[in-house]
Amino acid sequence: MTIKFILLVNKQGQTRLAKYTDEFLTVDERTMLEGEIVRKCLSRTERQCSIVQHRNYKVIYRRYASLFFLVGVDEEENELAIMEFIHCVVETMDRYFGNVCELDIMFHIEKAHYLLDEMLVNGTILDTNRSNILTPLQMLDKAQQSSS
Amino acid sequence: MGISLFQKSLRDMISGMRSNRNNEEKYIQKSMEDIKKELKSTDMKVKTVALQKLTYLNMLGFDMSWAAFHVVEVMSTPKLLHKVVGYQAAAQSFNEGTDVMLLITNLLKKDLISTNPTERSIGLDCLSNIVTLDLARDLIADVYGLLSSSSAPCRKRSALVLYCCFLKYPDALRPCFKGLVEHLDDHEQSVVCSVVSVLCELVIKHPHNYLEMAPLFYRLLLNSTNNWMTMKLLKIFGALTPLEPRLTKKIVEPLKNIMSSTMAKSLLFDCITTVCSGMTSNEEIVEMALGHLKDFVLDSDPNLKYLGFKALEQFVKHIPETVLRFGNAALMCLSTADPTIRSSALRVISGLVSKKDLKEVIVRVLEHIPSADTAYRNELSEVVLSICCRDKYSLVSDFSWYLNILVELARVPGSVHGKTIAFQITDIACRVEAMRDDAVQAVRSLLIDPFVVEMGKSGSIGEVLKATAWITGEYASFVEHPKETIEALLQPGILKLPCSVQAMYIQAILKVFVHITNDLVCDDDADEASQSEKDGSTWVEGEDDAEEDNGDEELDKLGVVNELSDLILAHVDQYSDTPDPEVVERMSQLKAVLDLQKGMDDIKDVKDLFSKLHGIISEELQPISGKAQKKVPLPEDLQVIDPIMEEFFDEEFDLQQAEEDVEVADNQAASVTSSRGMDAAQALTEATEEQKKFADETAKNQLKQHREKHGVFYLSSDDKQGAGDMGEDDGGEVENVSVQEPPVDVSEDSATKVDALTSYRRKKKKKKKQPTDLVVKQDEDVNEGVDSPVKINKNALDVNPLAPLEDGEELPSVEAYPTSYSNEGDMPTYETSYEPVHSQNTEAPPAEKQKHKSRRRRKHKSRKEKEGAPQEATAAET
Repeated sequence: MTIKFILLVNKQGQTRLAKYTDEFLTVDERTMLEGEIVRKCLSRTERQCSIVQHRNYKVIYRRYASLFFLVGVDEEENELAIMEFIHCVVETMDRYFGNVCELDIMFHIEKAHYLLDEMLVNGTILDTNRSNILTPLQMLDKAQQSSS
Repeated sequence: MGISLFQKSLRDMISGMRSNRNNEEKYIQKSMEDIKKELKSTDMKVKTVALQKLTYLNMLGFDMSWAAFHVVEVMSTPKLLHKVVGYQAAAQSFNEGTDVMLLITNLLKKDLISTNPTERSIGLDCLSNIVTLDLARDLIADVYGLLSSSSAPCRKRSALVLYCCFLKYPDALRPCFKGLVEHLDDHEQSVVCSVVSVLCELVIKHPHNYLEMAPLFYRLLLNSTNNWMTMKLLKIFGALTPLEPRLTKKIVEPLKNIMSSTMAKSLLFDCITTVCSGMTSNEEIVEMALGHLKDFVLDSDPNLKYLGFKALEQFVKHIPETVLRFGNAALMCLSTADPTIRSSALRVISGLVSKKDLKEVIVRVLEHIPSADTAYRNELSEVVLSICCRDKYSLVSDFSWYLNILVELARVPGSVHGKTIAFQITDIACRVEAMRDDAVQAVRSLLIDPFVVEMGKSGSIGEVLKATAWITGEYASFVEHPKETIEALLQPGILKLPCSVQAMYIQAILKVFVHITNDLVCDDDADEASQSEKDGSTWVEGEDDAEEDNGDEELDKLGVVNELSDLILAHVDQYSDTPDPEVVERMSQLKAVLDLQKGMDDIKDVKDLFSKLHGIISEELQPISGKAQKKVPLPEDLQVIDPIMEEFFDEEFDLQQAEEDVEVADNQAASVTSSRGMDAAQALTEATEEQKKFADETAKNQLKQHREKHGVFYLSSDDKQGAGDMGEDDGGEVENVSVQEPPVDVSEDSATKVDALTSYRRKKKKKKKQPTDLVVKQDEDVNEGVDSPVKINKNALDVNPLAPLEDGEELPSVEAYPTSYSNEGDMPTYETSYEPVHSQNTEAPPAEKQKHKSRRRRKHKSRKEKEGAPQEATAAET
């Protein structure tokens, strides 16, 4: 019942965010895995289901505009719940960045990471409540503003 | 974040990468060099920004393990904004092998007891990602302490981090468990939810340990308003119900309520899987679940469809008869565009098919082959083949039909299942006598089709052609059109097939030819008239002069034979260029037979020759039952344990000496003999019993001769026993197969466990961090049911936190240090006093146990006392 990785990839297959949890993969293993999964998922059409079995992961993906959100989970996880989780991530990002786009995530990668950390603890979903997630993030922003 | 004047910020670097799209690699290389310089800076700001950039590059696939020490530097800065960067970098790049890991224990400890919620949360989060055995052991008390913090976000996070620690340090589970469960009554729903998440993970891994908690979970299920939590609870019940069928009745009502009221498909889907995993005995709830499942399967959304079929696959495994009605829906899905859905549907079909509807289903599956791509075609063929051969063709009632299906499958372009098809055709022809005629007729269409032969060049259809040729030759009596068959067997296209197939073709020609000739010339003893009539009409197409002139009948027969042999001789030379010795040999055999026949003018000689040849090839190959060997009674005087070959092995020992001697003497004859002896010895290990006996005898005789010849070289050997022993072992192993293996010595087994434990202890002292492996070894037998990628973790947590303590078992006293001990003091006492204890399932042998007991001098504690003890200790401490 754990999320193994979250990938944000654009239409061209470039990784915009990668977060691995639960088990450690070396840089090479990560790159290879990302390559395989991105190729597999991006080649699928909209009429095909967005759940793919890859190695021992179930990969669930959703597309938002030019960005693909791919989440790898283990066998026991509920696919539909992960779809809802992805949507929740997107909504939270939307609320935080205000009409989120690929560039927001690119240039505020650390914020995006922090946001995910507030939602997940090593692959287990911690919280899905938007204001709960964003409160610490906004606090950090304030600290940053006051320091600069 | 303040950036020094000349340093590029992360933002600058990212935009730089974007603007240098064409030589991005070069740009990154340049940035990496800058980062390396900047990391050495004494200015913390510069260092932090550099680390931030490095972390970003690491995410894109560049190594940053070399910067581990800099990560620790940034982590230990007092400024929160810098810290966050450091922690993020650590969470991303540290692993069990990172050597600087030892440096961060105190750092994390400081964070965990900090008053700043952000520091606590980044500390906890970092720990959850990089936790190792050492970190878990050193920090679990602090994490556990945070569980009773006043801040709800902190409580819920620490519950989940505790679970991460348990995975690395399973012994902590028992002492922490009670405190964890207490938070199921937390007034903050989100805390309850995360505790349920932890319990869910624990239950899934070892459900039998948590059965007692079912009433608690039931209460939570009734009161849950949070879908995420309900899903976790359903998962818990999904794991518990298979173990405790009475639970099913209990949760039927709440499940029904959820299913009928919820709007969330995800929750609904979890309900369905829960029903499937352990509640299939309750018809009512199954009906309800299947009703919802139908909506999934028929939905136009491919995701729901796919998940519907996946759930259906599970139902098929448990209650195939109840889900029969989905067969049609599955068949309809074979034409969807999504290969994942199709595969799932195929698996459902394969599970649902019955003897009655086999034909219809197979035909409907095969319908999709012409329009499918190669991969899908192969998938479809595979399903058909596996369905039909299941349980020794138990579903197939009409083999004649199935043979034609097999032939049809063989023609599927790009098929990779040639081998299976070939096997099944041969299998059916061998096993089912009545089917041989049909088999020969079915394969005929493959044999005479030049297009199929052309296809055989590549892919696996060559195997099918081989089987085809074999069947035609072996069952030549059913060949209806001999001339056509022989022509087909002589097609020039065959030269392009693999050599083994060619050899089979030549053999088939010989068999068919011998058979025809024999039938022609030898059958006149019995019902000559009718036979010859049949002969005339069927064997030689369009040539019925045999019938017209009875006086020249014999000559005519010879004529027919000659015609056939001319035909063969004219074409058989095409094989003469083949490099394969097998093909060449068979070709020359065939030619020799034909030449022999050519040279004979007298029909009597021909008759003579061919009746003999026919005798050779017509002996039928009988299928042998796999259990045949068992039916042969064991002779009473059969000795399988005593060395039967003592003498031989003894002599073999001498033989080696002899060999050496022989080498010196350079006696060629002797060396031949002895090497033969060695061959026999080698064959002994591989051959069947009979062959072995034969080989033994030959070897013995040879040795005898050898001894007689070279008696001078032999010394009387005292080493009989040693050599004999070795031989006995070898022989015994082969023969003893049916003899039951002696039971594994239990005490020895547990002794190894204890060994593992002691080595574990030793390892621990040396700060090695792989206890999980050892734990797996101990508990291997406990949970072998489900295979999963997290197997190590799965076994690691098989500690029953609910069970009373065993006599002599001691808990690592985590609870004695719940919230407050200063981080700059000594190591906590629980660490020094800690000794790995035997978990419930690993019992040491009595002697060992005694030792442990006396060493630890523990009193027997009742469960009550155990539960009371930590609190007392806490009180004493504070």
